[in-house]
Amino acid sequence: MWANATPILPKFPRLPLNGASDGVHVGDWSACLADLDRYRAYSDDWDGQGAKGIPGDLIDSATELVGLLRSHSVLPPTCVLPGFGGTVGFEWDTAEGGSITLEIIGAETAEFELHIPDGPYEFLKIGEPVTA
Amino acid sequence: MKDEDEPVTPDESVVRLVWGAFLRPGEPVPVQPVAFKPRDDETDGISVFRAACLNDPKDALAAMTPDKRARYAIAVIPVAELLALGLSVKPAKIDAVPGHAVIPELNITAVKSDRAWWKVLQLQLVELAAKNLIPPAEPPTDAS
Repeated sequence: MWANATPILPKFPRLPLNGASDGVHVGDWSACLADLDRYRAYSDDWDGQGAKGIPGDLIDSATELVGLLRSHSVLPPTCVLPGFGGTVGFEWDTAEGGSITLEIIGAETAEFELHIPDGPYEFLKIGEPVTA
Repeated sequence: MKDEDEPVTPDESVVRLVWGAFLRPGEPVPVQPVAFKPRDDETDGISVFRAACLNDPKDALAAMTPDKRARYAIAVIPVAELLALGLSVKPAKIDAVPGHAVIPELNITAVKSDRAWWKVLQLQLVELAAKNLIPPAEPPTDAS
């Protein structure tokens, strides 16, 4: 499960050994899982503008990913948001005033984005098959 | 009220409808950047409404299905501020509501081709949205 995500795990914020969050707005894993569960009810046109429904297997995959992140001591995301294309996105605020976004676009498939103002930007796709 | 056939002028404002779940009450910037992300079919740019063509900014909600209207916040953004970001507003009439327009630079193709640029722009847009934001009639709950 989410074997392709393992290499990017060091990029996520972790709780320091002293337990402090260094001023970063930290979410809550229970709330994260509750949000994911709530998004199971997001069927087609959930926003009244034609947004795609969020498939149950995508939610299942996102829930598995939560387990992986927690097992690696990753901080809970600041928020979990639904996507118009039938996706879900985890977002973390970073100590540098930037953000990390992990958008789950399919089962074990995601897009990772790191943005630090006046600093590095990184975009990675996780889990998509390589075509010839 | 302006006729929607009149060109967009810098002294106008536009209305962007923001899904309630994309709000961050109490945060310094209370709007999530995703509120301005083009949908996969928005190849011409994201939708806005010209406030000058509406009696009230809330009239833009008529473009939504009735059971969802109360879930939307309304961000009112000066066109001059968008122009300062290098963006433009182009009329794109629809039947449901007068004054529909698009921001053509914020199309899905451009966003995917230059994600770093888009990320910076998103943060600027949410700051603009936060300056004049009308909360939804109903607080965010389940979608359906």
